[in-house]
Amino acid sequence: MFPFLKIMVRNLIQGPATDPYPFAPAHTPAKFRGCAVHDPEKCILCGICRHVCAPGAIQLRPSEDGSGMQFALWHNSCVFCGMCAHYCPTGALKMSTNWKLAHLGEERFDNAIANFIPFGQCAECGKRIQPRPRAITDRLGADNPDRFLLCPECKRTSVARLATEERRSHTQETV
Amino acid sequence: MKKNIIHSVTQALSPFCDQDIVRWTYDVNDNAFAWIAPGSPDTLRTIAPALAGLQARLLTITAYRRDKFGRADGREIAYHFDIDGVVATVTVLLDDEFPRVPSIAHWFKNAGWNEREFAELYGIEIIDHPDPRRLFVDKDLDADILDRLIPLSTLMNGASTTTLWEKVFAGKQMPEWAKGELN
Amino acid sequence: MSTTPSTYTLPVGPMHVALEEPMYFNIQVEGETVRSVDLAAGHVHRGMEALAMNRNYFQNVTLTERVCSLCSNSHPATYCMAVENLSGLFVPERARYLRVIADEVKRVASHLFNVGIMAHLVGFDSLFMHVMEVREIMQDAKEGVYGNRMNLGQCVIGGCRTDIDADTAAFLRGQLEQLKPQLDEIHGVYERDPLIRARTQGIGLLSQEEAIRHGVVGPVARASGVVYDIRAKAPYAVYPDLDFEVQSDTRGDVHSRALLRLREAAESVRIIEQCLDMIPDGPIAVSGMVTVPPGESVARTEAPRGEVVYYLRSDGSDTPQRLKWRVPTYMNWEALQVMMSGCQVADIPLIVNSIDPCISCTER
Repeated sequence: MFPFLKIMVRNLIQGPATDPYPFAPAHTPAKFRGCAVHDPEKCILCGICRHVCAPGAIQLRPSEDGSGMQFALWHNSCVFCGMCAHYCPTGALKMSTNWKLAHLGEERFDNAIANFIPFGQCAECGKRIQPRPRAITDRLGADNPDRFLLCPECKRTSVARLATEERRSHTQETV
Repeated sequence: MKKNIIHSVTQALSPFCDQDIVRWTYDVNDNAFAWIAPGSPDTLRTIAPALAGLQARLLTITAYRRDKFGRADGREIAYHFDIDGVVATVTVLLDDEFPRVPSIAHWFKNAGWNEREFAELYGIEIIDHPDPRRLFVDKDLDADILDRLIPLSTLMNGASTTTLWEKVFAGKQMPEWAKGELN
Repeated sequence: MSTTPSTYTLPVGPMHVALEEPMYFNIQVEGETVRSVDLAAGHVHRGMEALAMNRNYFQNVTLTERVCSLCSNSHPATYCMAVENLSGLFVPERARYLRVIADEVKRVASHLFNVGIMAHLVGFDSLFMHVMEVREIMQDAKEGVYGNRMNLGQCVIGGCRTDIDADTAAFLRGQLEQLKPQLDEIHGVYERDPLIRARTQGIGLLSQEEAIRHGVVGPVARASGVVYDIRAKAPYAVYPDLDFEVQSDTRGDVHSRALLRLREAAESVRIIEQCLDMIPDGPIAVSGMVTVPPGESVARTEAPRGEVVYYLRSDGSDTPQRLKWRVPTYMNWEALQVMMSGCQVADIPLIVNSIDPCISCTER
């Protein structure tokens, strides 16, 4: 007659279903998408994070002397979508499992990531290029570590030189 | 099955438009989409009853500017119908000076809300609408306001404004130059 | 004493205890009986379509996910399909399975929410709390697999973001095993409980003829005998390869809509299990970033509340020339005028809830 009675009694015996937070830790899954973290050691200033950020929570500002860029991410604009972390080619941006973001109103503008990323230098002519941090050279530049540290012009010269050398040795062989 | 629908759509529309102005596209799952080339608003008076005769269901109506930023005149309206799983889109071009279009609510009851919405957002006049009131936007506001976007966040000094970023940058240990103009 | 019944206007809303979102109903009442209904919308109109035209294709994935919370995966999924249709992008097969899993997980949670609220409106709050507690199984599944309880963030243009590895697959299966007996039990309660039946049977009737005339979609249409489900009618992702039954009913009242939603939730569990069994190995997204050519495209999916339509028009730039979406609830509002005519004032919230209204979707 009352099919719910059985369920209600069962629920009564089982007791509360809620976590006793803050008196005990709340369960946080390993995959939880919490606040973003930025590793300046891996950032190459490509700007893709800013491009895909729907709420505009990421800013990049060049320094006056041109020595690098200031990276800033304001957590209070962030919507925790994780698109920046998804598209980041070097893994510099990641979503942590940290969800404890409550803070006082007067601290709201401090609740941000701010990192200075210096530009890299061309190994040959010393011209300014995108940052070439160690962690990235080892991975992305693995095929040709020397050329990876050059500016586009020096890279072109180096490729051209290599090509001529190859052709020369090839011609010598056929002759 | 799909072939039959494609055939009957083409048949039903043939009195008003040439075969070659119906373009067919297919997605990866072989769902068919018919695109009926732009006509004048008056063509709706004949196409709408023909589609109603095919037991079509109106999906939605999209009004848009030919130039997104309104740098040039011109509004168009795309009417999307479902005919047993096939989507047919009929596009009409509106007059630059007096953008107006006949209501199709007589054949498709659910066109009522759609027409009220694009009328207020794009400033288009609907001829013979059964209930020509505003839908979402208050009657005291001007029509054609979709393009004149004033984000709430701008009003409330929220996300992404220069002032906001000055405050974020001000609280941080960073060089003086970084606190300057927004880049 | 005069015996002639007098009509008067009863305003309901925009803030109403039963509805979480604002909608204003101007109801003509004669005694306790509703004679006509007039709707006034626009309280949460945010101009999201204009926002979408000011954001690039990647940002819009995040924006569309925030149109609505209960069908938050259907929006980016349909938007991505529209972009993929236009740029002729093939989504890897594994990603198509992952999209179906995400959609169905959301469907179970959404249907349980609506059915739970119905119990609350009937005044059966212990059942309401029980259903919400069962829904928590699915909420935990979302959090554990995708990292968020509402916005899964699963879809990107050209694929998916979160892979389901052996660990998460086992976790998800475990959650489904917990859910299945509970779903059965809840269906039994809704089917047989005298209180639920007394309040919902024969209320808010919508005939098949009226359903077609108003062009209603989703469970509202299917409960009135209009057997239209995009997953079967114009299949997308991997639905053609899956075995599932489109649920339908002919009674078209509040009760049949609730039972239909519960049957669909059970069907969704079956779909997720099939996907977990059949999912092939492979990449979960196309590599590189997509460029969108000029042109137009339409994409449709079956969200928990019914058919979602996206129309995308591109002028070749990195932001859409026009992005328009039509949500299922948009089509169902006016049918309320039919469902409510002749009903009792006390039944108004129940009937409104039975279309599973989403106002943030409707007004965007």
